[in-house]
Amino acid sequence: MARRSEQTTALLFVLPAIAMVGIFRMFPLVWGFLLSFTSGDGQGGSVWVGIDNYRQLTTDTAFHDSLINTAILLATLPVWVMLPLLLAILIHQGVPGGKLFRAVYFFPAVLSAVIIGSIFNVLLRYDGTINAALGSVGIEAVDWLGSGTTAMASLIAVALWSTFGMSVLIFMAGLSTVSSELIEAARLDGAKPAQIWWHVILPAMRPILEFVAVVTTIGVLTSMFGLIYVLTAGGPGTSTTLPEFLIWMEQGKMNRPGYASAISMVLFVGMAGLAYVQIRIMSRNANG
Amino acid sequence: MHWVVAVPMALLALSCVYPVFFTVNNALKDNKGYILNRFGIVQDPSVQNFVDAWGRAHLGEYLFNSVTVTLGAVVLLLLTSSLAGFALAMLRFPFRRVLFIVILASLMIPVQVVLVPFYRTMMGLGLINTRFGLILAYTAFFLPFCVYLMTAFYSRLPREMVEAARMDGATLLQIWWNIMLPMGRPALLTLGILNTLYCWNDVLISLLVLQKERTVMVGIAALRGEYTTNVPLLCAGIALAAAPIILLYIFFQRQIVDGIAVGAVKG
Amino acid sequence: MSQIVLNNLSKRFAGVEVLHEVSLSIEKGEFTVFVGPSGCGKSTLLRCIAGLEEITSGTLDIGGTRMNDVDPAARGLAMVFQSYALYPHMTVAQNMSFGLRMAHRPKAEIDAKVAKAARILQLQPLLDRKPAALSGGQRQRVAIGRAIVRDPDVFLFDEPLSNLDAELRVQTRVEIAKLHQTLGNTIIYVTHDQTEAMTLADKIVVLRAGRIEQVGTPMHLYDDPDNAFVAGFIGSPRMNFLAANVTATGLQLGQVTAPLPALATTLAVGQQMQLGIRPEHLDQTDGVRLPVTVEVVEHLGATAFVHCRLDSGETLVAEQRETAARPGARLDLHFDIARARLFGTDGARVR
Repeated sequence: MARRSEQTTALLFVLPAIAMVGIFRMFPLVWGFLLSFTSGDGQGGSVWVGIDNYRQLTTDTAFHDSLINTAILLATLPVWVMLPLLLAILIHQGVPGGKLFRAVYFFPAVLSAVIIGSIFNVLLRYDGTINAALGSVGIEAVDWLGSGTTAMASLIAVALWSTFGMSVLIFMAGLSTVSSELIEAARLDGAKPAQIWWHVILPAMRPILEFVAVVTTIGVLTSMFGLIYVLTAGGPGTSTTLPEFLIWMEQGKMNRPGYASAISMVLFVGMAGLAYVQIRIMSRNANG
Repeated sequence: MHWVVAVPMALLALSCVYPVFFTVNNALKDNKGYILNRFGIVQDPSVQNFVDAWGRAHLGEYLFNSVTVTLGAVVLLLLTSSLAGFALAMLRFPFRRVLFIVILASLMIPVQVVLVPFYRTMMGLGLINTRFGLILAYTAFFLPFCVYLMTAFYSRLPREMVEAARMDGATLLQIWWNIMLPMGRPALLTLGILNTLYCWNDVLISLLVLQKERTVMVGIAALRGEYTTNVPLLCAGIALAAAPIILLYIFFQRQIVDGIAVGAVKG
Repeated sequence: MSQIVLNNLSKRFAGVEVLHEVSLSIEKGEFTVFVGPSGCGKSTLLRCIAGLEEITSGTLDIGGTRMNDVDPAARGLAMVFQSYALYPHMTVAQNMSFGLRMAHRPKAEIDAKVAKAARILQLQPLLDRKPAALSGGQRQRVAIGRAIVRDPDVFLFDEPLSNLDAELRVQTRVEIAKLHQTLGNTIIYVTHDQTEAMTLADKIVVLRAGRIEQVGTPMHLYDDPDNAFVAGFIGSPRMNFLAANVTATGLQLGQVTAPLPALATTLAVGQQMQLGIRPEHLDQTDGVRLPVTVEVVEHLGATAFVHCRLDSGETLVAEQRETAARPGARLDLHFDIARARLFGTDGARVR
């Protein structure tokens, strides 16, 4: 199977995929890198400004706020990983109704961020359903989406609520691959259930834990746009603005493509390491 | 002791489905009915909000746009990824491994990172404000995972299958169409469903590419701004936009679950 | 002129040579078996002939035409794969007709050829089934049917029986032999099982480490092996090898002295040799006497394999029709020196 014409055909088979990825992702990345050194000249063209955009980033409070918000978000990551792991363990242990829980937990994950954002907007806004419910039992209304701290907390809570089921699924798939012979061997050796979990099952789950941690991190850095867009629009002020949303604002509303590109490059560099780990896990799985 | 954890877990489960009940329940009320009775079960249900959302709020059009674009993108994704996966898994040719890595590596470039130049590239190719442009954009951004999964799936099939067809005189294109596509069915089904979810649910790429026409998710986002005070109408819109996905979830839960698990655990 | 001619054919994978300058001629209508231990290159050689592997150097001619760079489908061959490689989503009939359909042959011709192959292999009742609904033996027959439909000059079989259970293997082996008698095509058959090679072949090609060790008819290889490897590989249980020392009067085997067999070569006194004796030749009542201790007796009904130890510590197996041997007992084995074969310490046959 190695004649020349067959090799050419094989290359042609990969070509559409390479072309798509090349034209719409690789090439724009290079272009974006160049754009990040330019600025609009006010007449539709652009001028080379060197590292001005990057210099400006160091003093841009909106950008700083977006980084701080990202840091807050990342600080909650252990919850994003441990909560689904705990739930998966409980379901795996055979909690009553476990199978149903697994299916239902996963349900919000198939819904669009726009759908979830819109529903929670109705529930959480000042004249919304939750405040009405609180009011009916005599608790003072909270402006969930209108004040800086609660807005960010609400955003994180809604995002967590809408994706935890996905991680539960992945953990459950991982748990089902831990060999039951291994567990029985440990039981015969006299290990107690807690010891089996800690010394046998969790170590075997390590690759899955890594995977979930990496994918979740990438997810919170790049998949929050839809939710921010409908739930808080980045506000109040910049209190729920993340870099990806800021890029959108600078590109669209502010019409500063060069500046937006500079933020993009910072996001790219920040994420490249994570993405590298993800790709390594995936290519190991594909060829292992 | 089991019930001690089962009760909070059941409450959590309830929270996952309550929004659906909330949305449908309120979509059937009129605005006054909603303001007077937010939590109660609808007294005299009416489908008027659905009619309004479909017509007056243009959701009918938006749904049609979403269906076209989603179908187009999913078909294109399945064809290109299965073709590439076949070559990458079964054939020998120079740079095979490099090309696989390049496709995987593009996962490092989410749309946010190339927002501006991607928009300009689309503009330069005359693809802005065309549904075909959006189809291509979805294909470009959801393709790497598809190629990854098809390559992994095909490399577990015996290569003798392809060799037998070669001996039978089939061309590589015939082998792909007559053997690899049908044999890839389980993986293609999984990818088809997952990508239907992704395309249907997307808002960012759609917002960027289709600025005149709208897909249904962009439509819902706009509806929220236009009809802030008419919650029942908004709920009707949400229910319409989510209905296809909920149906997919009900009928293909196993494939969705498999598709998500397969990325993490070698299946 | 021979139908298939290989001349100094070599194959390298990523710089590692797996076939070393193989030269071989196969006649029209001949049933040729490539046999050897795993990793000997027999499958690679078959795949080079099929066109599934590129030939690194040397030439391959089929029917007088240079085939090195010809497409596999255009070589006039059909192949039966080890895993059968049936397409799981197609019925038996669709599997068999795949090649003809891809070539856009007329429907009448396709139907006629499938019907003919189905008749030969008694597959008619199975034509509408999918492979998953067939037994291992039936799948095997479909794979052969697919090859027959192509009406090839040469059939290639790559370990076709290795996925069948023992009983079915014997049965299918007979069917393949019958098929060869019916169709009369040239067949090249790869196996690691010397019994299959002995029972099926007109010509056996023994391979080891990418080289041909010997080519010949089954009985030729059995009677007159070129080296200790072929002698050991052909025949079951395998040939016993005893260390032998050339003396002025004959051969010294431990404490036993044996006369020299008739040889064309003159041996130097003191030379170290190996004497090969087949287990089935150790059932004589006179000839050279080997006193042994019996260790294990395996009764197979018709015969028994007696595993023994010589006083020198060497072990050997004797096949005897009737034996009273008991483990631990002493026993005298006899063999005819004319049936023994002599090899140098490097394994080369001394004639």
